Amino acid sequence: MNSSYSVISILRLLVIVLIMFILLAPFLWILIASFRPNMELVRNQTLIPQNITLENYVSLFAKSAYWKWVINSFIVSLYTVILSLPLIVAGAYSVYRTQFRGRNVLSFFLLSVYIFPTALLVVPIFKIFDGLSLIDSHLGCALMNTAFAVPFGIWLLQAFLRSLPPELEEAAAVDGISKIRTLFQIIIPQAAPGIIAIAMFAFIVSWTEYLFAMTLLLSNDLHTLPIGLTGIVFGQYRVNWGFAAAGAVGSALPVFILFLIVGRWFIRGISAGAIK
Amino acid sequence: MASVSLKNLNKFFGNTLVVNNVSVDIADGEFLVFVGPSGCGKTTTLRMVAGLESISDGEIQIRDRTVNHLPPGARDVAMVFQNYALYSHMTVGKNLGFALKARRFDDDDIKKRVLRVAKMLDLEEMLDRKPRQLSGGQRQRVALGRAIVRNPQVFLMDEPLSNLDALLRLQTRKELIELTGELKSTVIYVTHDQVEAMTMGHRLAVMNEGEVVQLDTPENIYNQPSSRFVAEFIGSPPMNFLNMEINEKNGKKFLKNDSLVLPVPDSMKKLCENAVIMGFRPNEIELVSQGGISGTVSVVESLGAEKLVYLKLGVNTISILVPSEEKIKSGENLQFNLRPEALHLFNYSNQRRITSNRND
Repeated sequence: MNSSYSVISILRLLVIVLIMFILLAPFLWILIASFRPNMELVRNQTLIPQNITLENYVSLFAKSAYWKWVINSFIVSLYTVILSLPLIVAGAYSVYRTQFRGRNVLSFFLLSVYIFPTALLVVPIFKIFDGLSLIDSHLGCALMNTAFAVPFGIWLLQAFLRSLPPELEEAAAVDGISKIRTLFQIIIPQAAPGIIAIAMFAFIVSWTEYLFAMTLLLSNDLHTLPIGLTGIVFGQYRVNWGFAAAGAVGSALPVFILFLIVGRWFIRGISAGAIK
Repeated sequence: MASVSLKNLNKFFGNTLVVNNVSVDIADGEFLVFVGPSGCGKTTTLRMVAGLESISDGEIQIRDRTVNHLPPGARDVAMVFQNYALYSHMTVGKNLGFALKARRFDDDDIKKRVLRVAKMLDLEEMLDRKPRQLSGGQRQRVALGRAIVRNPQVFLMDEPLSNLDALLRLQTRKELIELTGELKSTVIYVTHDQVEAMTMGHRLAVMNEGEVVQLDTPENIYNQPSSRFVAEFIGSPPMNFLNMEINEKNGKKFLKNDSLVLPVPDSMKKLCENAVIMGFRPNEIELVSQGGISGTVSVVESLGAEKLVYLKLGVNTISILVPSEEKIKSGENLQFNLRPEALHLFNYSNQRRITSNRND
């Protein structure tokens, strides 16, 4: 009985390790590759690197516009968070916690924005933004990211809002507290973990966005990390894989640090919706 | 404080009638308990008084003013919720003062009121703590304090004790009775617990399937339940019911089934039914050594001071309460007497109480 139990737990552990390996292997490969010279990556690749070098990181941090791209990415992502959070909070609260005509239809079509392949939208968006003088501006790029972050953000936050007992609002209503005051002083503080999770989500959506940044940001000075990195990694005749790997690590690093700081809120936010 | 009047209240959820023509007048300073099984419409009725649920039909008056269309905040009522609904991101002090602050009371006044209520509820030491650092009983007191601090005309309480463990519930029940007595407040209280209802209410409104089936003092409801439902719901352990035929022999009427025959009580002589439901409470029997109604013991449950004994009487099983000193084993034969005054008779078809002074 006892031994069969331990066999099962060992098997379970093995399966978990295997799955973790499959999930993490690409990241591990990238991390290792970023410390290899480019020549070694092109031919005779071994599991353990034969030579370790920092040259990829030196060229990334010192010889490229890495820091400028980070700042640009940060600006666009911050704009996205600032623009999308009020919309997500107001949207989630009104769609899922108040009664009005057409509410169900509205919430049904909420995620319809994701039906269209984004590539289809590039040309019309370019035309529209051109008319609004939003081409070649971080704000324009952030507006686009906001449009993509908001519907899913609303959907995510409503799951969190639903986990709050409705009696909180009812208690406030009986106490004669206005809806707006209830939202700001009771619902938002109560939903803080969820809102922080949504902020993280919006930030990452914007941080990794490529297509619209590529289309809308024309000047080199405004390029974000994904655009800047692809520009230098893919040379005209050859690809610098080691440098690409260092760039990937370099672009994930700020988000990783952000996760370390607010990660536990993110997990709480996601799981609160999941349990429901 | 104020009187509250519910007039012909109806509530539909879709096509389902969940509150059916409820009319209750609650006097100034009265403690009225809505009691009934879950889903009977008691909480919905309370929520209509609070303004949290719209009124499909009928009228609610608080201090002779119709409040049907007033938002909850304008009705000057305070509500204590089953799950307390404390603002967990605020300290106890802020929880207590929040409504006052929203109503633009000045800070000194808020402080004074919060302190007074905290003293009243023994929460002075807790004012700087967050709700999660409190025990269940303390949280319950904060919820109560949040209601008291506003000094409302009417308190509405929705099963406020049901989340507490047994001992604490008993203690809090006593405190709540004292407190509402001191405040001389009008209280509308909802519970499914008949013991809570009996001990706390000046009057009870027993509800079933959306209707108030009996509205009276706890004593009257216990002694003269208006229907089989009330008789079964109020009182613990519940009343026994037996289907009886009415036979007449030599001008005297008898209640009869397969295992017992009892004379119809004198007060019920005018009985004209052929069959009735006879009810009697488990504690209203008297054990005798011979000559009584005889039954076989099937199960004995010890309740401490008493024993609850299940007896087989022919095809029926009844329960009786006997002192714990009685040595009773299952399988044994027991005999008992039933006093005629202890019998409750209910109409067989509509299950209403057959009263002694009827003339029809």
